[in-house]
Amino acid sequence: MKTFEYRGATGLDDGLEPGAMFLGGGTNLVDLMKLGVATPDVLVDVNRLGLDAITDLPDGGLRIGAGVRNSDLAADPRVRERYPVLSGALLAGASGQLRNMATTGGNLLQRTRCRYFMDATKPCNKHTPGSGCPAREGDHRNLAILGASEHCVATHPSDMAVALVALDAVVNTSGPAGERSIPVTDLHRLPGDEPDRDTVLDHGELITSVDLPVLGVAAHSFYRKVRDRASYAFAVGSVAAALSVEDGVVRDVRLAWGGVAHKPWRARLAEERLRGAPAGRESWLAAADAELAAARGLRDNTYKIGLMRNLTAWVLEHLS
Amino acid sequence: MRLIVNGAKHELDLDPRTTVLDALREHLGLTGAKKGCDHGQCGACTVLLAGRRVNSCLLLAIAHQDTEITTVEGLAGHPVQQGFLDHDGFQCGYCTPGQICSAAGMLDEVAQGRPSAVTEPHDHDLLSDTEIRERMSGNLCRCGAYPNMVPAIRQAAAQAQETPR
Amino acid sequence: MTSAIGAPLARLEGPLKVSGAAKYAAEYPQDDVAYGWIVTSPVPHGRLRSVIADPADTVLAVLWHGNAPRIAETDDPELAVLQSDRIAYRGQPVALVVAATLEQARRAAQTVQLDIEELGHDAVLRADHPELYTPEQVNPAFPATTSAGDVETALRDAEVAVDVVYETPALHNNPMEPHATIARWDGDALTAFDSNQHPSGVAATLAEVFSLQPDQVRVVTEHVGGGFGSKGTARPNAVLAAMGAKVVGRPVKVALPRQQMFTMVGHRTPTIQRIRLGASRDGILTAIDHQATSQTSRLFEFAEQTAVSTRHMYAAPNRHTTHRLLRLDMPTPRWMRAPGEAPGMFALECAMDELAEKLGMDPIELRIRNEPDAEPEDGTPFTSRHYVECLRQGARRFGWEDRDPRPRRRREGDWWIGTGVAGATYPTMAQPSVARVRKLPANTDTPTTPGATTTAGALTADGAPSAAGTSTEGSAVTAAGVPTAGGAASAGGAPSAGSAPSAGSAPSAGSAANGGGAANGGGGTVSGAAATGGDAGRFEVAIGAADLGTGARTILAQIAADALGVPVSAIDIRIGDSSLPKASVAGGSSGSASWGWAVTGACRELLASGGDEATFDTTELIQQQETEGRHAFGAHFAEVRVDAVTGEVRVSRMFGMFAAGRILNARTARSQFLGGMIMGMGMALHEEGVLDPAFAEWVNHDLAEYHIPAHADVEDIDAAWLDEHDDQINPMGSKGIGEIGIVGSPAAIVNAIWHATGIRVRDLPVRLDKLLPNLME
Repeated sequence: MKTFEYRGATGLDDGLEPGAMFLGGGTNLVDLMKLGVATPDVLVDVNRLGLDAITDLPDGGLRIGAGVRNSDLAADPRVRERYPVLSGALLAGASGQLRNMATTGGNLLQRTRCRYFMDATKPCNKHTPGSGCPAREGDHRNLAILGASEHCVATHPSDMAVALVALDAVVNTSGPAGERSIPVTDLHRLPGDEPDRDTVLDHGELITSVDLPVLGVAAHSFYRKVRDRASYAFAVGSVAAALSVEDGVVRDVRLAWGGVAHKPWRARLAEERLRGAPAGRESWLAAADAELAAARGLRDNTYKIGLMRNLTAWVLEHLS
Repeated sequence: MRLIVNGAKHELDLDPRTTVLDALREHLGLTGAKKGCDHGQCGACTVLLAGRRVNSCLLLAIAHQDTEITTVEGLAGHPVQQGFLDHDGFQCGYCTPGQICSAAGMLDEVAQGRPSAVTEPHDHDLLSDTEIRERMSGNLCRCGAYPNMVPAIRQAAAQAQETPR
Repeated sequence: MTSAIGAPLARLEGPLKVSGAAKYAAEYPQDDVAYGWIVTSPVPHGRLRSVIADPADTVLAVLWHGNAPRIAETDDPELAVLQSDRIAYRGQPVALVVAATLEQARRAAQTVQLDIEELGHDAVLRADHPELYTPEQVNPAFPATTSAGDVETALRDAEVAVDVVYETPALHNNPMEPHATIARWDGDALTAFDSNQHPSGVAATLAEVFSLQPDQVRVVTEHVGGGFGSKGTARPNAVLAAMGAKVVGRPVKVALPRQQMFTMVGHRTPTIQRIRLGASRDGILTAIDHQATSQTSRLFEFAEQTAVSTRHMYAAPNRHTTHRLLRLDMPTPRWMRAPGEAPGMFALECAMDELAEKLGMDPIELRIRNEPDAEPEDGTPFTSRHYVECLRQGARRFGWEDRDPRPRRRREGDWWIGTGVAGATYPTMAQPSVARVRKLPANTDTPTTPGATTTAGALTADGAPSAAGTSTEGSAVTAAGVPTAGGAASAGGAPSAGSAPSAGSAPSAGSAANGGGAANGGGGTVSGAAATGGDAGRFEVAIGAADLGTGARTILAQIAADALGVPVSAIDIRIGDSSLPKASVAGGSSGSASWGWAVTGACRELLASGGDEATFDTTELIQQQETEGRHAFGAHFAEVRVDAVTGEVRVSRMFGMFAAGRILNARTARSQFLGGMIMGMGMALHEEGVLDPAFAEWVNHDLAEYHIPAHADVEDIDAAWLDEHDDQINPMGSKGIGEIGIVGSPAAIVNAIWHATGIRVRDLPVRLDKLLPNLME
């Protein structure tokens, strides 16, 4: 770990000097600093900015402070009742200890678990642009099948973010350039030829809160995560879905996938197929297939295509 | 720099890079919290931060100067310790302090009615075998003492109900 | 007097462990300690030209072969650290940074510049590699090849045959406590607080490496956070800590980061195993062929004995076992729990299941029909062998009877459900050790060496366990790490009937082995001890053994108590220190037998001599022993469910039935059996060092990516044992139990997965991606 200067943030629009990073729960950043993958000169601690409240929005939505801990968000009765997919996704992630530490903002900004990115001694276009991507030929069993590029096949590891993109959540940010709101679906980038950039945020732009809009269908939602052991493991694939069916026909649906792309993957093609379609296994599979048409497997991760197909059908059936 | 550990205030001269775990082990002589992975992947370093279980290996000491830290040394007499003794809930003992701190924190979470990944919407037994296993999954044990921890924790939960601390 | 041996006595050091007071290697306070961080090679093969530290870093020393002190060679080339420019694997130690703080050392190790001439490498084991060779012998000293009859003809003529290849990946021991050493020099005397399985051996090695007299080295190993083979001998951390301390003139602590645990401390070799079985239609084996291929490093020939257990399992007139080895630019494999037996029996016992399927025969019946009446290869009689009884009793208790043998028949919701069985065996060994027993003056209650003594009586001195079992005021242990009399742990030290695991878990066999009312007997012995301990006098039992969580400390106290005819509370047991009488390694499931034998001998000699002190060395007795025909046996049963949608596997039930001689402590034995079975579950379903051949490295080198079973993976699991008597093996009649739990349990799970799904996965681990394509409906 490189040495650094530590200071507390004084305001939401503090911004960051070059080489500085925000410190939230630290569960990912401190980990990467120890590995020498993250090397900030300055850590600006945002934990005492009072961003730890969950408040009702006037229209009936919820505003989640960026500093709200994952465990508190998962246990919030409003979230449990109105957005069960979010609570479920949070509880499927990490461990009780890590959920007590990790923040909402930090969870969104966590970095890939790609084994090459996590090792500063190996090439990786994400931690050292231009050094190459050994994962394509090497270990990629748990890497992306959608939206990858020749420069990067990493996946986004968050469970929470998958639920948030399904729920049409919006992040609110603050920085020297002012405030703005960004749909979570647009927060994360695909790798393209700049895999070192995970999100559209500018340097010094701080996530202050996440808004959950009023979304009737969200009360009927579910998250299912598949992983290599029963708990305390990252997803090899996950599905967040909300569904309403009336008279045997899909009225409304939200569908997002985790563990398959550089970003939490909103399955819009599948949603389009589903709206107005008869509820049933054929529709579920057709929708999944529509989304997966663009999927490209590498040597060892092609199984994810079948997995996501099955899993999507299962979750939609479960909700119908 | 200052740390509040097990009720005592300590003045320390630490590197900003020092984690709470290293501060405890290398500077305060509190070696109960263990270093198993140093990356939040095993749970051996679990302590309570303001009463909540956390991985102390990922906490920078400089950022947690004003919050009460409780280590296994500060949990003397906790029913979870007795439960582990009575049910042989450990072998090598290295993950044990983390398991005990984690179980103590977990029992508080259960008392608050907090859900886990296996909690059904209308399931109120938050201490079923399945619940205990899931809730304790952030603490790895390579000796495989898990089966004995379940009754140990259940015993502690029953005792904690009888004699509130 | 009731026997202490067999009683479910709680671990003597339990109160220290649950209170955080038990001291592990890196936890001994030292004035002015400095921190060492090992720099490892980023390439698998090459020559190290130079090492240049970043001037921005504050360090006390950066050692590499260009400036490191010369040390003597041992029989382990991995310990010749920083002695040459040769790089033989990625992850090999190439430099040691020593700094005043941990943070400085870690950073300097990251920034140090290595100038390396990189050479080509080969990292992949394959069965058709042109450089495969047959080693002279396999570990520890078995012939690489054995043969009888005519296997080829028998297979050709067999009415039913299987010919299958199984593969197992590199597996990593990953004890929870990473290897660590604090080394301190006082003049020419070296003290090493070191995490290992063999303090006597590590001390001897360090003496050899640093050209010291044996009495100039002391290794303290009081508590060990697991080892599973990887701490069987001194590892580079011990040598580097001592070297660093010598150079900087301060104590130096080297604690390996988890990532380094995947390279320099050993691992289980990957294997490729071809098994061929021939049988008559009624299930009598006519031929067994087991060809094992494994790897080793360029530095050292480590030849795992993968096919050796096959030599002992089943009768067949025509038989052949052989081993081939390949040297690669990879780290040196070493021992991991049941080396040889664990991967070898996975292959054999899965192949037996495949043969049973072909025969349309119950897999238990197939095994019973091929039970030998003596060692299949050389005819040596078994001292005891109750494999068939384990299969039969285990089947009864597991509920095997009504099993439909056909696969893919049982479905509950999304789950395919199946059951599987597999056999287990592990050799019964003992190794020379020395123990000393001393009569202590009356009223001695202060341990002579604080920190190295655990007093059984102290844990129970305040009498019977309280009903509530609530600890009092946290007084269980003192800061010095010595249990105080009257401490809080009394309830744990005195198991009641209700809390004795074996009483409930092994009603038909297990508790019988403990002499009927095991729990009562044990409880009575211990809780009554405080009152009688003073009458009988006190004894100090000393042996340089190590307790890695096996319960060795406790068991040795039980053995001594019975040998001396006193309660356990009258025994002060001292282990974990090389200055004590020389003990063998805590390995090969031989610790209790080896040390218990020496302790028994010393106690008997003390009583016979009437003196105040006796020492007993088992070397001659053990050298006179026959080595063949001595094995523990067992049978594993598993019920799994496989998600038809995702391919996820869960193990709903595991049951192990063992015949392992006399069980010395029903409580710790059950825990050890279960622990082995759970590690077997990890081997079956989770664990794999994922090799990237381009880097010659296992890229999942941490505990987030190298999965071991988490708590949620372990559901209903139990173990029991037969009341097996064997008076030919050692004075206690005990066989080792530390490893047999992982032998066969992976096969039982994999066979159950086949029964659930109809899918044979022959390369471990069985992950969902290997099942899912064949599960699609």
